[in-house]
Amino acid sequence: MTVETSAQTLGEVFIERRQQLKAVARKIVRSPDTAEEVVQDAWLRIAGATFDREIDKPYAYCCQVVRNIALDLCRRQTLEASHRVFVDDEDMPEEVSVLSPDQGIDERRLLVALDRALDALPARTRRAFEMYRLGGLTQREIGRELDCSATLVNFMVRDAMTALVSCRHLLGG
Amino acid sequence: MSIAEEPNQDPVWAEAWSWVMRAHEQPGLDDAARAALQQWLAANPHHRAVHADAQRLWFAAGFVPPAHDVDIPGDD
Repeated sequence: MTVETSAQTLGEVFIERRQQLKAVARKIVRSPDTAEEVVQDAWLRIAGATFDREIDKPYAYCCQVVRNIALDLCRRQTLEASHRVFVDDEDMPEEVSVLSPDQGIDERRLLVALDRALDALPARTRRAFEMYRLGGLTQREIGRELDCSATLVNFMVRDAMTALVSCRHLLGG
Repeated sequence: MSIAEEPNQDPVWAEAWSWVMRAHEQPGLDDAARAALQQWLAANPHHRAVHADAQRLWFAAGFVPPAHDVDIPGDD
């Protein structure tokens, strides 16, 4: 039996549980066609993913990727819709927030840099940020979990966001 | 050190992150918040640039595998 790399494992898990992942996307984006697009985008990222550490829970990571793409899509759609209502100005640039999967190498560099920036934070700060960013918990819920005030959680999340800014130069155009 | 290198001290970054957090907590925001955001973005091209970068960093951070055992919604 060979030891699989995490990329293979991730890819296999993704293929095996594609329908479940599509259901995760569909809960967020509603339309089945959009859910399919989300899953395809997620697949490109998963298939090209390389990490310098093991992914302990491959399916959880697949869910994380699908949710992230679906939530960002919803956010941009509502922002763009409200932009059209608010300013009747076709010259305004559209917000480009998607890092396209075929930016490949650059995005991998960015993810490694973000991982390192988050790792330089105190462990509890990173954990609070992950619960907020990835787990979808409220700051109050995180405070209960970590036995501290919601205000402190807010500071920790902001510290983590500030750490992310150190990677701004890797965003590219 | 310039203010841009001290994002903690930079009011534009602070405001941009506040909007990112609000949009995260309430996807789509409500009408009043969306209007306030659009107003802030339209007020200064720098606001728009910083907000776009903050949003892109936020999005990219969502692809970083967690270092801690965090429950990811959907992974039941």
